[in-house]
Amino acid sequence: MKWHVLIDTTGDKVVEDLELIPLSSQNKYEVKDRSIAVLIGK
Amino acid sequence: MNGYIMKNNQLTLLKGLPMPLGVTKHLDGMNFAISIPNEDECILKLFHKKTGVMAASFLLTSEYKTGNVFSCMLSELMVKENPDLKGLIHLFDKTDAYTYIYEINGKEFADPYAKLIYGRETYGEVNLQQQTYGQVNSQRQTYGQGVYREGSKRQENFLRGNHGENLKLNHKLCSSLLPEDYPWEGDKPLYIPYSQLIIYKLHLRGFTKHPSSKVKNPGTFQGLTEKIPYLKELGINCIQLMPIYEFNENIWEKGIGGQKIKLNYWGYSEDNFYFAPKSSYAANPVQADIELKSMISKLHQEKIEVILEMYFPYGTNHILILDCLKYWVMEYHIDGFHLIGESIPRTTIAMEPLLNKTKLFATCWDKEQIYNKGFVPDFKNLAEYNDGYSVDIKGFLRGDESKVSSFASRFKYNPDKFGVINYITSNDGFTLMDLYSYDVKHNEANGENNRDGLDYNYSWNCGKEGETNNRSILNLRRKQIRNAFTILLLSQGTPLILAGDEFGNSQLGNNNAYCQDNEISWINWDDLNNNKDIFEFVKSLISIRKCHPILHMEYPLKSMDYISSGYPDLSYHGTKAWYPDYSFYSRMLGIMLAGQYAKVNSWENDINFYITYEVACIN
Repeated sequence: MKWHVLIDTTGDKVVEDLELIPLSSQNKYEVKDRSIAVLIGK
Repeated sequence: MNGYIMKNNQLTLLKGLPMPLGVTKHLDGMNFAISIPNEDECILKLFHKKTGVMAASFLLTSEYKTGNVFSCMLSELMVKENPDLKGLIHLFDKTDAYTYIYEINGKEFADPYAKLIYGRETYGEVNLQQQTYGQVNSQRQTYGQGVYREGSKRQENFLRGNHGENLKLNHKLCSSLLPEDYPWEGDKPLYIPYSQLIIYKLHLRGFTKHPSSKVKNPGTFQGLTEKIPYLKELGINCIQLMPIYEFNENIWEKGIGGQKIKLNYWGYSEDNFYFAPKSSYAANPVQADIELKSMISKLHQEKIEVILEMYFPYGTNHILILDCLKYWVMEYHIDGFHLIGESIPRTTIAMEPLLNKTKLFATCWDKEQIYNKGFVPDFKNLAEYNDGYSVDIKGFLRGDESKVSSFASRFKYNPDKFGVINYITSNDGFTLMDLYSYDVKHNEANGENNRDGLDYNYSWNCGKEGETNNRSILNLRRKQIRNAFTILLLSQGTPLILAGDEFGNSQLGNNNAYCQDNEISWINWDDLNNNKDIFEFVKSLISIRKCHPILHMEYPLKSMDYISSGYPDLSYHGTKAWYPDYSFYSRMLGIMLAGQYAKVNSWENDINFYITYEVACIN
């Protein structure tokens, strides 16, 4: 499954087209403190 | 019916229909019915609206009483044939040319079922001569001794009508007969399901009263109408209006040195005419009904529903509550109500057939009594509306301990039989900007030594109380606002946004602006330019929510893989996948929503969402 960052409330630059596997222990998307990230996957 | 009976050259009014209460038009004439307990007679007085001169008055004795309801029928034939009633000659073709009032024991009062009220056209104006039925009936002289204007004494010619020049209506509360017919032009209820609804709560006056709103008629139904394009751009599809019925905005407070008047800006009053729109909310107060209908019609054209907040204090007659809800649906095409008050007959209202497709919000519902076990309504019209979501989410967002579990529950909560209204901020509490700008309330302007309002707000000033130029604090506040909107708009259930939060509106730390009809409570539209980024963020979130049905399911997610897709519809995760951490000090959660469980259209599934929430300060 390919995952892309849709929203990151840190307000930092959103990383586009990042391949991630959030449900595995590796290659997780790093969420900064007091933030919410919304990833979408197909 | 003949309309009247002549006896010994005297006119005898025909007894009317005791139901429905209020004034109603029939083929035979105009029916007047009012409930007055413990009285043997009352007087009905009609006035010319323009001049205030009395057109006729009628004594209603116990013969006109059924139970506690006095009723009489004024027929067109009777009026035309009787010269003593020439003052009423236009009663049937120019209904709005007349007003009426009742009198008991020399004290006059307006009909509690009045469809329009005259005498409160100017917002905030105090009139000592106004009194309501409740004040007269309970003998409570709210406005002090001796302020009542004595009504006319019992006269022999009541039954013939009386149009004496000396009987003028001055400075009183009175009722118009019937609202004018409105050309609805096919307007129909929208019946938007709770799953698709995005509610926007606002105070009708405060929404556009601030000069920065730049509308032609600030603080009115027309002012809100001018803002419809803005609401469309934001993407909401339902507005919830704080009271817009004819409430008395002036509260008498006892204090040292006697009584004083305070403003009830919000409108949760005990002195109300529930059937009448608030005349001072109209650009032309004598056309409040037409302006309100026009506003509703235009909102419906843009696919925006209208919900009214109805506050019924303890002791409000249950029949009146039911009658007025049905009236607003039939006469004003209202889509729903938020019922506020402790003694509301919620189950009776829920089971009223005429309201079965009207949205009804209440703190809770007696689910077992309303629906038989196992029965799922074809249209979910009832919804829970309480502060549980708000309290848990605010605590979670602040990073309080032991909140991950309750957050997970609130995110998912979406009963199959009922809607659930989720909100973080409301009128009683901080605005969202203030939630992250103030640790404590600042209600000094209310004149109660800061004792009023909620003491515990789950708020956090992010490092400095109130205004600051510190960039890191300002950035943190904005991030907390974005976090709050992300949680609200991606939760299951129905989100409710407090007007102005989407562009950082502030009340300067006042968390109880119930008496502030000024810049504290009016929405400052200049903030829309100052905080355009927040507005654009909220707009995007609303758009994302609308596009993806997995984010707003009609029925509860099951947390099970019931279609063998490899993933459950909803799953929770911690730093390790599939292992959410609900421990006391945990402050993070991952939520995955599998798109296979929701159809975007008949041939396409939704996409998957993985949302990570980290509310701790890691650095």
